[in-house]
Amino acid sequence: MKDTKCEYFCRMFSDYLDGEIERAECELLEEHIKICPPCALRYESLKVTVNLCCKGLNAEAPREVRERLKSFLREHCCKEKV
Amino acid sequence: MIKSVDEDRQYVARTVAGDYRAFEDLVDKYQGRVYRHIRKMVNDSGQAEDILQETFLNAYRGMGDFAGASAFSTWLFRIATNNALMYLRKARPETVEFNDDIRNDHHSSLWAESPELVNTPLEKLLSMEGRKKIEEAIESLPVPYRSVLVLRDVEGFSLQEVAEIVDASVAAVKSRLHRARNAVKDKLLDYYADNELYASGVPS
Repeated sequence: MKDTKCEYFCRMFSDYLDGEIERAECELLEEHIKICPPCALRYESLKVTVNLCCKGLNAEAPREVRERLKSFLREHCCKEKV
Repeated sequence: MIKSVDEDRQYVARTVAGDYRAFEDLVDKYQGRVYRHIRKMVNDSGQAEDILQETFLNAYRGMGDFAGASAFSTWLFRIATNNALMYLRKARPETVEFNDDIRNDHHSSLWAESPELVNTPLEKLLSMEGRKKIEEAIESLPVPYRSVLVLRDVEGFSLQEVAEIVDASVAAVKSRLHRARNAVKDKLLDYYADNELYASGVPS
């Protein structure tokens, strides 16, 4: 029975991170995490994962790619009017 | 992600009025993120560059018709996503399909609980090696799951915007996101758990 409850809450973690869970359910989820260390760990691991995806990837195209893009567009767009 | 819908509207208006520099300002603003998204979808930097060029050219040509019904960024990313998908359907159609493995593995990735990820310091998780692992984990996802994760968690679009970009319901996006995030978590957990075995022998 405990496993079913844990599974129920684990399935909500992703939506919870996106603020998609109703307030009453949020409170139940937060309560569960307080009393269930394995679920707390599962939740924290997911949170870290999402955080890493936000921070971990490089945001710039390499300079050569940027320059080639600009040249390409100048060549093709300036001949046309929007 | 900074909300700059009004700024974009001005750039678009000026471009349509004939100001090419305004278009270049838009290109400067979005090229990095669009390139990153395309590269994550096709896993090939040469091809990503071709699709990047094609995407901005499409945007330039379509800007007169772009009525501003959606935000410019959503519209642009939709063009990029569709161009990447068109390429993948021809070159690697198997990657575009919904993969049953992710469904089958999902239960175990949901259940996995080990402390290594949470206990590893952020500097290590974001070191060059750590970043490589994040990239690999994301790249291992089938494209339908990878694209929503990149759009939401890397590019910072809202669920509604992601749904518009990939042309799916918000419910479908949430479901794919849930599976994608757990699959990435699982890969990272495996990596850091394995590394733990060797970490204790390494002098600090």
